[in-house]
Amino acid sequence: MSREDIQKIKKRLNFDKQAIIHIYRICKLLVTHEPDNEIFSKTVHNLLYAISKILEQEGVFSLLFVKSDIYLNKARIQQNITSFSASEYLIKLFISRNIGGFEFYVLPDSRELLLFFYSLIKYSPAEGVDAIKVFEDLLELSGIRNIRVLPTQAVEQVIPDEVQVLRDYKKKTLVIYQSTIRFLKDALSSKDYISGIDMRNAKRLVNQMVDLSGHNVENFSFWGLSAIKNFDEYTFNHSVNVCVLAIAFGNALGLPKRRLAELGLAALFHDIGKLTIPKKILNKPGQLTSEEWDIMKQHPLFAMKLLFNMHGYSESGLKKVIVALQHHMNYDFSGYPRLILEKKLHLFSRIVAIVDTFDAMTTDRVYQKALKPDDALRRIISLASKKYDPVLVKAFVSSIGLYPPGTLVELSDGSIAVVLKSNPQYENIERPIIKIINSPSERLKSDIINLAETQSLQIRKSLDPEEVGINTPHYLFNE
Amino acid sequence: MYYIKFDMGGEIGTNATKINEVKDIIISFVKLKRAQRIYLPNNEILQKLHIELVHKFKKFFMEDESISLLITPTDVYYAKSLVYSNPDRSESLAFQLYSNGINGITFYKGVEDKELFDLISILNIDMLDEDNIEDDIVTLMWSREFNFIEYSLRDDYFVQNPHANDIFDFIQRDRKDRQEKSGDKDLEFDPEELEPPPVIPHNEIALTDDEIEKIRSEVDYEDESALQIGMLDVLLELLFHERNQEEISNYINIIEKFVVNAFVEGNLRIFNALIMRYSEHKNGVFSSSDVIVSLYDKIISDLSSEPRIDELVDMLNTTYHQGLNDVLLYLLNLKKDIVPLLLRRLPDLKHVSYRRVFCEAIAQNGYDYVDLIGSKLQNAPEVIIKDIIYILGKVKNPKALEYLSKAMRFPSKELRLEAVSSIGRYRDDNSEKYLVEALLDADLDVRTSALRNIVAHGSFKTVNSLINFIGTDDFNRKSFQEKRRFFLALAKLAGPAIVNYFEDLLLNQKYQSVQIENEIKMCVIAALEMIGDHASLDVLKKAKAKIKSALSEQIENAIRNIQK
Ligand SMILES: [Fe+2]
Ligand SMILES: [Fe+2]
Repeated sequence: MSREDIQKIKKRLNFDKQAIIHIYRICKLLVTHEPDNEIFSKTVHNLLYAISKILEQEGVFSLLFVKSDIYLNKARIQQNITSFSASEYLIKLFISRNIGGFEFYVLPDSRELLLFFYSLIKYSPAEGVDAIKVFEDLLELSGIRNIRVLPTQAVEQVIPDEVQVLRDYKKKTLVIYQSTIRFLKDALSSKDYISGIDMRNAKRLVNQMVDLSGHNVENFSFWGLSAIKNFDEYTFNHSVNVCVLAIAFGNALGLPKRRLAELGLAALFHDIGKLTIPKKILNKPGQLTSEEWDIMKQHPLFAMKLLFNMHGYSESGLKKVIVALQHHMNYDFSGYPRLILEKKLHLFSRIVAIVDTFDAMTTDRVYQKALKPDDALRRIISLASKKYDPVLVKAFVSSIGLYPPGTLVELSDGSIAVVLKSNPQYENIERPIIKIINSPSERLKSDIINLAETQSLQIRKSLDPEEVGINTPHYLFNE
Repeated sequence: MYYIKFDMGGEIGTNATKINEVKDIIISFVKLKRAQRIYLPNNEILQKLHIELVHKFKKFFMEDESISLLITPTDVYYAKSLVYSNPDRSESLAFQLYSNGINGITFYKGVEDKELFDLISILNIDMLDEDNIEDDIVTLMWSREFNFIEYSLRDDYFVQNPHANDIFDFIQRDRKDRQEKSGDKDLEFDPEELEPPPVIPHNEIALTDDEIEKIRSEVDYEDESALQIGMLDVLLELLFHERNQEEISNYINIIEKFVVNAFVEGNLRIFNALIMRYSEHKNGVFSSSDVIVSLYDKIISDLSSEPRIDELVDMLNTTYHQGLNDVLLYLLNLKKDIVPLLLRRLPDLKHVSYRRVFCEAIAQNGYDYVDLIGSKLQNAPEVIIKDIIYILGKVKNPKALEYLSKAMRFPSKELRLEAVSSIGRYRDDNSEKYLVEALLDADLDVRTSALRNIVAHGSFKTVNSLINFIGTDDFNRKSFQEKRRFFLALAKLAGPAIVNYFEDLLLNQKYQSVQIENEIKMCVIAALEMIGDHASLDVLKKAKAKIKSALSEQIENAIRNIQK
């Protein structure tokens, strides 16, 4: 991705994603309805509006369907869970028609657009014919002159990510991550944290994370940042990881930037109530007595009072309060604190409840060995509906992948690899992009392989990095 | 904010003209920034400066695609040339940006007027103000999501502790050299949950279309009032169960601030929702708690106090987005005895629509304050007197009629008109008496309105007063149109009962002049046509036989219309 592309994508304000969803709706309806049906008018109107916004900015509207991605004017469209099924459908549709995509320079009218998609749905290319040629004739016959079809293209032709951009991106994520941990440590270690937390700086850091999470970078995933464990004291490291995971997850859910920032901030401070718990209890080596547990269970309430007194009652302040208060309540309200009037947990609390557990389970502690990420996911899945929102659990697993970034795995050929990034299609949930660390076959060493494209290789099982003696973040962040 | 390194901008060999243009742009920018602090948004000088700046940008962008500026603590550079410098930190644009961590700013071709203005507004926000505790220039610029303005941040902005662990070292290090595991206890999960994980069937983790739709709706729609109401529920429940005195006062403090904050933040809609919920609870689940009940009263009392009403007036004078209904509901939620306060502040409200809302609220609580309200008819600007007359019409206290009858003697026609409709809201003998009196008003509009109000009352008693009026000199002097309106009103009020009287006017009455005779007869014919029953038809037929003049055509038309 180049600087110009980033600028371009930023200006699109989601009109790209909206266009994809509208095209998807139209295509699905065209399977069962004639194009002159009234049913289309609203969606086509919305589609034309989104397209006109893009045309206004960029002068051309060119969609290319390549492998698992859609490129608008050569810049990859960011996917999220809610736009994903639409993209998947359209990619399959275009690939099955042997057509790479389409473009136009002037805004087509609604009749043209509908007829174009209608032709696409109804048309099936015969073996061995030039699909583009045949389809062009078809368009000519229907009087569609403004829309041009494009041949299929390989990924490489579409603009590969620049190496320097990738390197800078990784470096920047680490810098922000480290800065956030240090910020939190400095802020919370000082005695007067009650008045002393500089929310402005917290917000700046979280905003930068939100920006970083929004870029789809080749072979690297923002989720991977949370694979860094025990870099600093647990509370700080954990809080920042929960923040990273919440932003990554919120992004996958399609939350807009500003709400992502609120979510990230709330996640960062979800455990702030622990500050008021005596260190004696917090760091007690042995079992806690039941009185001590009772005190521990006060941390959401402590947090609520603390945050209210600290940062007032603004709307974003309130979201921090609600997340800190609700993150242990559980989906079925069996957790704590127990409140009878609560009927529905806030979306942010349901998100943080999941990522909070995920990070805690996957971190080594004095009294407990870390679970491997995929095992932690299985645990979380088994507790869906009881502790976690079942729909969000599904969304979480499908966006982080069954082997989350940072998982150490053994492949079917005996190689050892680190998961770099998950693939978005559901059928590839067990087939992420990996980096080989160690392989019986010399050729593969330090290769990056997309298992979705290499069906001959599978993940056999996940490994415990400690047993193998591998520092997984090293492979995520270094070339 | 972008992770891409900021480049110095400007091509090598950028000529002096360009550099001067950029200098000029920055001068304009700084001027506009200063002006914005001094002048109100609609000020002419301010607007001129704004247009000037936009114009300079446009001119520059005729050839170039962007302007990238490098920021240092005292200077601004464009294409490696100094374009702005100011050693005075308190005034320096460079220092303001740099001290906030910004080391570069880029304007792209297409930058909108609104974006420039908003950027300057952000730079002018007083960051020491307590309301801005969560934001600074950078977070505000971030939230504003500029399309054509971009900034880059210094990497060293957050360097706090040079001796702390370094993340780059950390990820290089071998697993063996890693620091100790942390010991901090946590309750994220129960250690019991760590038994061997089950195998998950794949179909259990695939999202269905319905589930995706569910996520989409939650992502797209944010219910702010649900969040606030949920919070109130929690706080009240916690307070209800709390036994520790210190904690109780802590919760009371929090709840009070929380509810009042909705008002302070100017979100009256949320405030209304909260207070409604609170009132449900205090009369329901928590009715046994004296603490909760008295806290409610305390909150309402606080917001009904004079300083709070002053705050409200200030708020309404500076914002435009409050829903009228929200404001009204808010006022009605307060104590009834705010009426004198509202009356006093009424003249200070700038927007007519908010003034009307105040009037409405005063009126709804005003029954016991009728004398106070009536006393405001003096010594006030005409618009306010008009509002007072409006209020008097709605307080539902018949005593208001005395004040309104006085208002009928105001020289201003507008005021008398308002008074007639206010009188019209009362339905008693007095109000009818005043309305009939108003038929003698000097102004046609006032008389018409009085007539309309009399008809709207539909009281038969008035008919006599009206009949008595016909034939007076006052009546004869009125225009044909007004006479006609008068007769139609009479027909509407009295219906078939008045047909005999009309017959008399049409066939037997003697008139002062032919002109008046013709006018009145035409009016009667129209009135009979409107009543349209058999008796009216008979009268018209008799008239047809008897009257041979210009009127006969109108009579025939009327007959035809009734028969239809
Ligand atoms: Fe917690
Ligand atoms: Fe936690």
